[in-house]
Amino acid sequence: MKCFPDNSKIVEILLVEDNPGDIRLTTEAFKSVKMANNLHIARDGEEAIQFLRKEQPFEKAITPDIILLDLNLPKLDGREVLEIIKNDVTLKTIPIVILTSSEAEIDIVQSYNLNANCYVVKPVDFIKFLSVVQSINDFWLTVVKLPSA
Amino acid sequence: MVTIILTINILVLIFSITLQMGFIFYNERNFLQKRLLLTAKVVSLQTIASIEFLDPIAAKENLLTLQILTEIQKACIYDITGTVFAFFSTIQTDNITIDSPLICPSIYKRNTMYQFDKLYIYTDIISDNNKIGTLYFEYDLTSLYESLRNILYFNLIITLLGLLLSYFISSYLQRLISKPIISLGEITRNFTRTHNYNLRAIQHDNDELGELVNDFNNMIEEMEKHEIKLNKVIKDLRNSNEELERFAYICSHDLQEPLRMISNYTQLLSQQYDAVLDENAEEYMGYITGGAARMRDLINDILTYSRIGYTSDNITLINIQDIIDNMLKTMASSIKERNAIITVDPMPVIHGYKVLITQVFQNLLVNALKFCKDRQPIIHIGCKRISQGWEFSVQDNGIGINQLYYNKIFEIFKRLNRSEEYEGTGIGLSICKKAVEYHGGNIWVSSIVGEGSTFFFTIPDHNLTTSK
Repeated sequence: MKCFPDNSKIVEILLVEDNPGDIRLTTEAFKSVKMANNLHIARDGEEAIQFLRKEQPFEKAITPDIILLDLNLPKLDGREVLEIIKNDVTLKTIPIVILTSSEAEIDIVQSYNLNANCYVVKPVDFIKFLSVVQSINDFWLTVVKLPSA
Repeated sequence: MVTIILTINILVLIFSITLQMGFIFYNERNFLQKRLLLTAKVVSLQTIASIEFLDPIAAKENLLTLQILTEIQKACIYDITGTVFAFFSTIQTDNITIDSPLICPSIYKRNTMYQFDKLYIYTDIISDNNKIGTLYFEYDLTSLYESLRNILYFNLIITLLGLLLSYFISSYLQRLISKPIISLGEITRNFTRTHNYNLRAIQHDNDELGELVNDFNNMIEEMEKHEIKLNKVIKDLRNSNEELERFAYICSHDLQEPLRMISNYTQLLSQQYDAVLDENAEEYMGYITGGAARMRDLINDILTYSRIGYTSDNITLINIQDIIDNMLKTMASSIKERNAIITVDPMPVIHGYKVLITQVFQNLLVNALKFCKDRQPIIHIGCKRISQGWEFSVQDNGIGINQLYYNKIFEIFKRLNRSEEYEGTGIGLSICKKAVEYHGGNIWVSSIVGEGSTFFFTIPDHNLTTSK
């Protein structure tokens, strides 16, 4: 059922996350899934927008295939970033996975209202986190046919 | 009110007029009768000589003196044989009856006789204790009746005028009294509709009504003060609720972050440094992740507990049967694992908060399964209609609860057993209690240690629910 058997393609992932512990965890997790990927990091909302718009100092940035977005970020927070991306004609097709520790209903509802493609609660358990990363990988990068960037 | 009083008045007046007229009629007739008998006596005395001297002309002259009383239309003197001796009649055509000697004896027994509008008077003419003749005359009562009728009419007119006058006076007085009451009523209605605290009733006088108006105004003032106080309390409450919401959010997000770091990195450590770490390190790391997991459960449970009452959920019609069926489906694996036998009474459709009711049943069922560790769980979910509500029960055959702890088990984080024996945060029953009480119901337990427990809770009918 794989629609994207092209293993040579390197998946570009933008992780918007301020917590270094979480950055490291996500990096480790993506290392362990057998998939060619390139993880780019933005440490706050502003950086994420600059990265996506290829503004200084990210003139050489690559448009990501998927964005993993934390909700609570310094400067622009995740909701604002989500809103900006989904209102930007050139960026709105990039799938966005909200990856956060918040289980609050209001965050979930708000995210989907802002057209987030997926909402994932970061599990306490690392093994579970691995399987979450695995399923993000399966779902967004192989099963779903994405418009080519 | 006025009509009732007037009707009573009219009835009393009619009664008194009737009595009065009867009395006047009786009196007047009596008086007339006496006067006429006296007149007759006088005339009869005057006629003695003319009868004895057989002088009808003189007798007639005597009779004619009766004409002074115009009501006397006929008069006649009979001799001892009953023959007409002398007579006069102002009615010309009436001779015949007077001529007839037969009239006299037939009505002679009494001195007076009434016939329609006529009064007949008979008097014996007596000389030296011997009856020598009879004096008879007719008195026309029409004028008497007429004057009586006039009195009656006069009375009626006076009464009618009096009634009219009293009607006007009383309705004027009523308006005078009820005007402030009606205006007070209008202001009350207006106030109820608009809640405008600037409304005041106008005080006209210092009488009882004025006092009432004054009291009313004071009441509105007091209510205004009360509402200002109440609004302040509501505002404070709203602020503290918002703070609680923020706190709950911090719990769900910010407190989870460090926990995730602790447990994730411990696991990462054990995964990646397996070769370097010894058994002790593995055990310690197990405690670290276990503690973090437990902390997470506690945070989530506190959140659930604190959110009861802040639910956006509304009271709806909920089918308890559906709730239980769904619950049994989602818990199917743990029920099967424990090989539990669960029976369920037919369940009603009630008004309530679906999420909360579901939590109550679920927590009770989880407990029932949990505390039957050493035996096959036999669980019955019951339902009974009580006055003004429903009583539900969850019965198990588990370890039971000592009566000493019947109330303690509903306290938050209260546990009766070590967590190694029976896992859990000790908040399930507190959530049940809060959820049931939020519906205005009660929850309690009855149990025999070693044989099992039955948890009961009531959900009152919606219209009787006092909360919210």
